[in-house]
Amino acid sequence: MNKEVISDKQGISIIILYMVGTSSIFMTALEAEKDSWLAIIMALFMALIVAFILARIKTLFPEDDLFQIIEKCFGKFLGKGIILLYTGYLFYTGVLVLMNITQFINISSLDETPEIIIRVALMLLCVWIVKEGMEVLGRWSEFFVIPIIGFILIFICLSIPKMNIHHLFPILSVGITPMIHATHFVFAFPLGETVIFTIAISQLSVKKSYYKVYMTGVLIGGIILLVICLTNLLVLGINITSGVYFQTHLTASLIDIGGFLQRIEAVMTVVLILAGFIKLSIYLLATSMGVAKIFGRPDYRFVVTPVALLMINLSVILFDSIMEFMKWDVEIWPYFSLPFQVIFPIIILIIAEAKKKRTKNSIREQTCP
Amino acid sequence: MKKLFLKMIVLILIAANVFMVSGCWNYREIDEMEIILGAAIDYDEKSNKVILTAEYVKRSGGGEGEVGPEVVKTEGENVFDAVRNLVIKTGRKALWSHTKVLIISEDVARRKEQLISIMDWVQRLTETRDDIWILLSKEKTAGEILEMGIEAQKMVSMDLTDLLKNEGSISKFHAVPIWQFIDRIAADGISPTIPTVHKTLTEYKTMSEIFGTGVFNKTKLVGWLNGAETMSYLWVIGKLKGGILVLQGNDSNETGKMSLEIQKNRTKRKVNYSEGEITMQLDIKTTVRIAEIGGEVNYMDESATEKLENDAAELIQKRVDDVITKVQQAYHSDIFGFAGVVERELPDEWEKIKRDWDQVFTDLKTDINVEVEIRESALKSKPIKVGE
Repeated sequence: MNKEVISDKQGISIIILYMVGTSSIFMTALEAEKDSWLAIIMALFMALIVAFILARIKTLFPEDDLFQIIEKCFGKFLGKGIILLYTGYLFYTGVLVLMNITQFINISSLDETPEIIIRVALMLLCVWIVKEGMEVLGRWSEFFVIPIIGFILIFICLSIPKMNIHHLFPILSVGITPMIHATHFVFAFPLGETVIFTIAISQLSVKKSYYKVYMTGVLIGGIILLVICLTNLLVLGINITSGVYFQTHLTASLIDIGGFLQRIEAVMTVVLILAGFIKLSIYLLATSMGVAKIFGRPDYRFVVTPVALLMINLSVILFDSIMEFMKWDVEIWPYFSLPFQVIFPIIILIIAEAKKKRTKNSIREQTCP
Repeated sequence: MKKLFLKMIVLILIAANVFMVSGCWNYREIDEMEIILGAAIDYDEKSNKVILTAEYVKRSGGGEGEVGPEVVKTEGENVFDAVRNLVIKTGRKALWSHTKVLIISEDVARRKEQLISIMDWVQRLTETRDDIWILLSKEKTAGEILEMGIEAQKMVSMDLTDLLKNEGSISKFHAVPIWQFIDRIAADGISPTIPTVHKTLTEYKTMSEIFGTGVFNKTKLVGWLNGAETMSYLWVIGKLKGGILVLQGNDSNETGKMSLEIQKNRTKRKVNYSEGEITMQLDIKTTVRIAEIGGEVNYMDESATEKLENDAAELIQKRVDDVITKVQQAYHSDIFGFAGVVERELPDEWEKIKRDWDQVFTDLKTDINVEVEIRESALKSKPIKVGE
């Protein structure tokens, strides 16, 4: 397998785009109502811990991706099983992301275009970039991360005249249970999803900088989400925010500076499509790598197209309507993803640490008997 | 070489396709659509039907391409039915993304289901934008406001939009975009308002005017405020940006009427809570300038200025107090958003009184402190002198 090396900066860019991706349009922490921004802060701390665990795993095995680490830790048979589970999870989540993006485009702007057309068009580009490899993805992200953050900043600055600080008060009014739920949801999607980068970003040019890349990426991505969430809450207030699907789109559409600078929502749509494209590509890449690993093939490229086509198929048959989709997305998915995001990484870390220690000891025993 | 040539051909074909298949799935030229500028919605009780009056841009051909208004009336079971029935009349599909104003009639405003269905339709439809201005017709129907544009050959919706944008200098209405209206309906305790639009007949032509406010109790229209009361309402909610305060003359010191132009206003609202009783405290700080003097008194004197400031403060306090009392006694509807202040400052107490807020609001005591500051007197330093 030819190793694909990307720089630290590219790695961070990918993670930021990934975090901003679909979540800049959907707000996931609405359980906590006015305090959803607090939920995001709490989730960000949790996500940093998970990122730290994953970075530690990667530092122990700097040459391998997560699948190889799993095989090394659990052995061939059990390892294959876990890889299969992971691949299924990634595949399924990839389908959800695809549906998120296309449903947004379909509902907000191209409402008479059949959704399948948008899906196929988007997926074709993803297949292309994934076949080109991680290095191209990295360079693409490095280039686009600046305009995307710029657009978001412009959006936030232009929203300032419409903000009303009273929308946030009183703080901590919902109680502790909804708060924990909301924190969990934000953590599950998208802040805690760092695990995918242990698969996708398999090699960094400067070794042992995984701590830096994962944690900076998650931190910046999380802060952007936090600011977007605050903007939406400040402009719209919780009553409207919880009543519409695409809050950022609505907030952007309210911007009106001097009667000529208006209808900024198209810019936010572009941000979503660009960042969502990276997100989808990463899922496609990781799923393909998983499938290739299960069948013991060194290169993943041969399965990219079939996986993409399967994703499109599944996205068509999975849900009947956006209502059903949202219900699933909000109520079930966070629990479904918890083992993959937190429990497995912790188990892997423990076993990896133990293994590392033992090999070190045995090496020491061999060298100085 | 041949292979390269083939490759080139394929590439050119693909590139050519880009131009052919670009654009939306449901691409429509602009001449296949009717651009709706404003809509008015009425409700006919007898037939239980919604009547939609839509004003759209009429394009006449020719080089210059003049535009004028065209008004169409349709009926339907509910709003969207009426909207689709537009196609029957005009032959083309309507484009709602440039709609500026939505006028509703009193009949609609008094019926909860009608009002909710309109709001829901606006927010649900992809094309309509949530920052459409909403207006309440003080005439018999909402449609006649738009219809008068045909005669005068001007676009009423555009005029109304221009007028709404000048809220700051008139302060006799409070413009409300539809998203804010919906937000107010959803908030606990607080009730929304809508500015009212009138039709006035002068000798030569009919004109549209916006002043005054329709007061809602949640989704039901309960009463009205006139232009002056609306200004006091703006004082209470702290959204006053300008406008004129007229002081009545005083016979003893030979002053006529005086105009003070409001330059800046800041209203701070607080809750005072003691022994189970809530008092709403309003600290109003207004900066004005002398804009017109009808007498001979020189207000450049410090003592005279002070007196003027006190008079103005007294007047403001009276007007603000009047409007609060009127809304409390007659309408029992918290359009000032006092509920929000209580919720912010006394969250625990709010949980208890939330259920019967309307009653609490009716009995709510207010404590109004007004401070007026005269900053300048425009170009003149003294009033016009009348010789002996």
